[in-house]
Amino acid sequence: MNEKVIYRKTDAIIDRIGTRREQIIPLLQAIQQEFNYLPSDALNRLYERTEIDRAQLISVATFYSQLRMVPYGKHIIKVCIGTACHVKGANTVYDAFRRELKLEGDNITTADGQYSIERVACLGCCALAPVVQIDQKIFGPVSPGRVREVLDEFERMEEESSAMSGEQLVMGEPQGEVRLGMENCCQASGTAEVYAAVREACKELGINVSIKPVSCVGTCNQVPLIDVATADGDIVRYPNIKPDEVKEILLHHFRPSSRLRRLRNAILNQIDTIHTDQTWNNILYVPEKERTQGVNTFLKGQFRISTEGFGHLNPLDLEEYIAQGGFEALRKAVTTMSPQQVIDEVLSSGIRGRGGGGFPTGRKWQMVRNNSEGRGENLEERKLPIVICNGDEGDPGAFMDRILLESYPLRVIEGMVIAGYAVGTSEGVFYIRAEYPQAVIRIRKALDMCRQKGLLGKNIFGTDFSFDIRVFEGAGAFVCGEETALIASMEGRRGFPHLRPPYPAQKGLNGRPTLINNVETLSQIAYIIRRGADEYAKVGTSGSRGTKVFALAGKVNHGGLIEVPMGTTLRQIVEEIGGGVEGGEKLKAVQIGGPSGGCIPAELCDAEVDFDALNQMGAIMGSGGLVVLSESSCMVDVARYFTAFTCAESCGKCTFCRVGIRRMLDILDRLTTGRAKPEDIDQLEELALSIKRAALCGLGKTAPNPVLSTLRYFRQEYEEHVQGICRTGSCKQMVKLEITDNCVGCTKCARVCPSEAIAYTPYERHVIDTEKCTQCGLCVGECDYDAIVKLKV
Amino acid sequence: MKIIVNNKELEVSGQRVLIEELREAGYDIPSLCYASDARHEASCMVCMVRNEVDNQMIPSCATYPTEGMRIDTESDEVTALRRMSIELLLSDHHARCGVCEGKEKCRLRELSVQMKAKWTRFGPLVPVEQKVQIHVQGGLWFEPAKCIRCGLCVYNSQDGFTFQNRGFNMQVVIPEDNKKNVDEKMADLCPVGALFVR
Repeated sequence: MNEKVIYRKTDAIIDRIGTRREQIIPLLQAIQQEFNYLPSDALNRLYERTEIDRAQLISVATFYSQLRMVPYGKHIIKVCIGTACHVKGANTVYDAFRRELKLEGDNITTADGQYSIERVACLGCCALAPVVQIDQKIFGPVSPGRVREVLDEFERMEEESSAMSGEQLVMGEPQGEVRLGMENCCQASGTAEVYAAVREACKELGINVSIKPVSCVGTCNQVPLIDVATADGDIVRYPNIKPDEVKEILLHHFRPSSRLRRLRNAILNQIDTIHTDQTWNNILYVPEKERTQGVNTFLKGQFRISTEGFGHLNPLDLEEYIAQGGFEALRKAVTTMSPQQVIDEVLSSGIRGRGGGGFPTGRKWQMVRNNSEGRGENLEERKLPIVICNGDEGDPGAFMDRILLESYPLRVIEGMVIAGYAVGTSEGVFYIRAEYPQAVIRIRKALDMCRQKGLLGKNIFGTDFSFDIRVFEGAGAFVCGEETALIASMEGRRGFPHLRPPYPAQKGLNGRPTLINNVETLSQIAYIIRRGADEYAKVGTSGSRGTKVFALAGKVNHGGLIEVPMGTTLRQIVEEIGGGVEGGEKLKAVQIGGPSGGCIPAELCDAEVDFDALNQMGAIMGSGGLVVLSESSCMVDVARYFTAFTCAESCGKCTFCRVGIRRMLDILDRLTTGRAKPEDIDQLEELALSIKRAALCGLGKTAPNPVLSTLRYFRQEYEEHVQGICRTGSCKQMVKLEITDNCVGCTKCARVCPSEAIAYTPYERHVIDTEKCTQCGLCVGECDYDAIVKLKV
Repeated sequence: MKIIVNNKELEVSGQRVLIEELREAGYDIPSLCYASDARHEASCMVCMVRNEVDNQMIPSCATYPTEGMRIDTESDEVTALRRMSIELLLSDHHARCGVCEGKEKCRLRELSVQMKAKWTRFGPLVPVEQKVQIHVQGGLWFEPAKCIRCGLCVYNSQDGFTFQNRGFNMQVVIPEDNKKNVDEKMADLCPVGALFVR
């Protein structure tokens, strides 16, 4: 592309977005979207035409991981290394892709420019771990052996480029409804294919049903899942279905409209039955109880506030949301209550912020309102407040906010408008992280619908209250979930947090009093106002009211998105809702709260989920990622994993976080590779305690939690690592794979080995070349004779 | 406004940051990233004090005194944390003081000696980049391996020095086109020998 074309296109972007310094992130995002990277000619144009200078550009463009200065391949493969994916072997998947694409050294782009590969913190599809995203399409679970298959499937889909628009099939009165979840993660696990099959089958059979994409059911372990709702109100649920079962299910519930069709179908069906036995294996003939048992135990014990309407609400059907009581809370608030009454109601409900710290939401609102009315400290700087919804969910292993934004965008919007009314402003912003494109699309659509309906904009419900919301996309920085860093990024700076006070509620975005609430917090507001604070306060424990949405993942049978009342025990969540630990293993610990949280050992899992109880155990509620760890998970490896994450995501501003966490990682690296000395454990602890005390912001202060909690409960394992023992075999450099006498020489392992470490020697005992072995573990899974074992080096 | 410092009352104006008030009252508060008459952001954490009211460690260079504050500047915990921040900085610093051209003005060296910090305690395990010296302009030189990323030169130059990357890989850089925008006075601001005049 020549210079002139780049200039012309860049000019168009600048004209569209603006020239101010604080617009740098939207500008760079638009440029990258246009050119696939940030070409230097485009940047030169920015220096010429906008207020942005070189210093600011380098500072910002190199801070956010989404922005890149070198061109990438045509397609980008993102291998998720979130917590759930990590414990299920994401790194071997990454290595497998590199091998398959023949990438050597530091290269991340294939020679033909087709693919680039990168690791990403979390794609938020933890229940499908390990997950890989190629362009917009998500695949999971991807084992190292399935890599070629995934690439082939992607290439096939590229050719078909199947458009998945919400095509209207319904002519006349529909006979019923087929509901399926169409979140990013559901699509990844095959719901997209089922959707296509349903459409196809309806056309072919002449059945007139409406196909309705609905909000997340949360049962990520049982998808693809469809609900068939017939005209007489019956709902039949089919989990784990395959596309070729769809036709039979539809025929079972609905009669084709014309008699001729019916006859034809009957004949074809008979022939099908004779030719294949597919129809007899169909899920239709599995008894109801057996079929839905997994789903039912999963859903039992849950309580729905944020995820009310799961599985039947269409995320983007405003009429339906209103018919179910949506925007009733907003109407009640703006037409019958004063802003102060709204705040009092939220205050007395006892709700605490779901973002991590658990600060009482009502008090935050009060602070913002007080400052905006000029009663606060900064009298002379009276400025209109602003409401920000923090959707920068960066915890690896957490995807609640993504689901809430994708499945219940209207509920979050309603909460936000109420918050705007309460603090007295007309301006709101959705801050959504870059890795969630689907959420951005849905929120934008939902906002448009609300505007058309008069639920956003001027004079809402005929009052003199006006409110509107815009969307700001994050550019890839975990630290921007911290509120002061979030504000810095919206002002066009590096995401450096600053010391609080001043709190954003006093002096936030451009000096204005700023209310920053987490997605989940806002999604509970409508319930509080509609049902009343007392009703809300009935749910939960005395210190923590209401419900909490968790992303349940890791080594658990039924992972997914759950919403439980506060006070539910961790054991209940793992054993009852989650259906126990995967593979019948013993529960070892539950990691809660992501990189800021800690590992709670199995013996303490009878503790109730409650902000204060978790703090006492050395974890935090965090945003709500729950990763189940089994006997085969190495705690030192888990600690190293989180420390590596925070080290990469540290902003670099203060010494303790920038250098201190790096030094912790050095020690953990030694521990997990068998090079540690006994005194390293004490030094690690000293560093961790110091960083917790002295780091500048919340990210730094909580970063040592994974290390401190594992040291507290699993010190024994650290000591074993000093002696060079990793019982679980997770620390690869401390174990080697070896083939025992059980080997019969079947060559299965030799054929599956991606790194040619096992020679093809039929009927002879195989031998693993430890030099070549990457310990991907494929051979262990393949061997029918349990002949491959992990041994201490 | 009255605050309590090491169990003694201190009258302060409330208009200046804590470090200024404390230093004026005669307390010895070490610091690296703070400069009283320049823009700065809390970074080095060497000026840390403890607020006894909520038992929080706070950088005194970025905190304003508030009514009822009880400050501790000399307990073992405060001293130990200050020493550790120096040791952490040293572990990422090309500490060859003998041949350093900025050693006379280097406050990191001065504080290391004063606090008896050990520069080998935490490394350097990742080799600090060896001696690369960049000519900025006039007599001003920049040696990145000495930089402690306090950001004083970044915050106080207009389109001059800037940060690159983040976390442990964060560096201070000067783009070729920006060299004209900084002058020799910048060397006085730099608390170590990273910026010096030859």
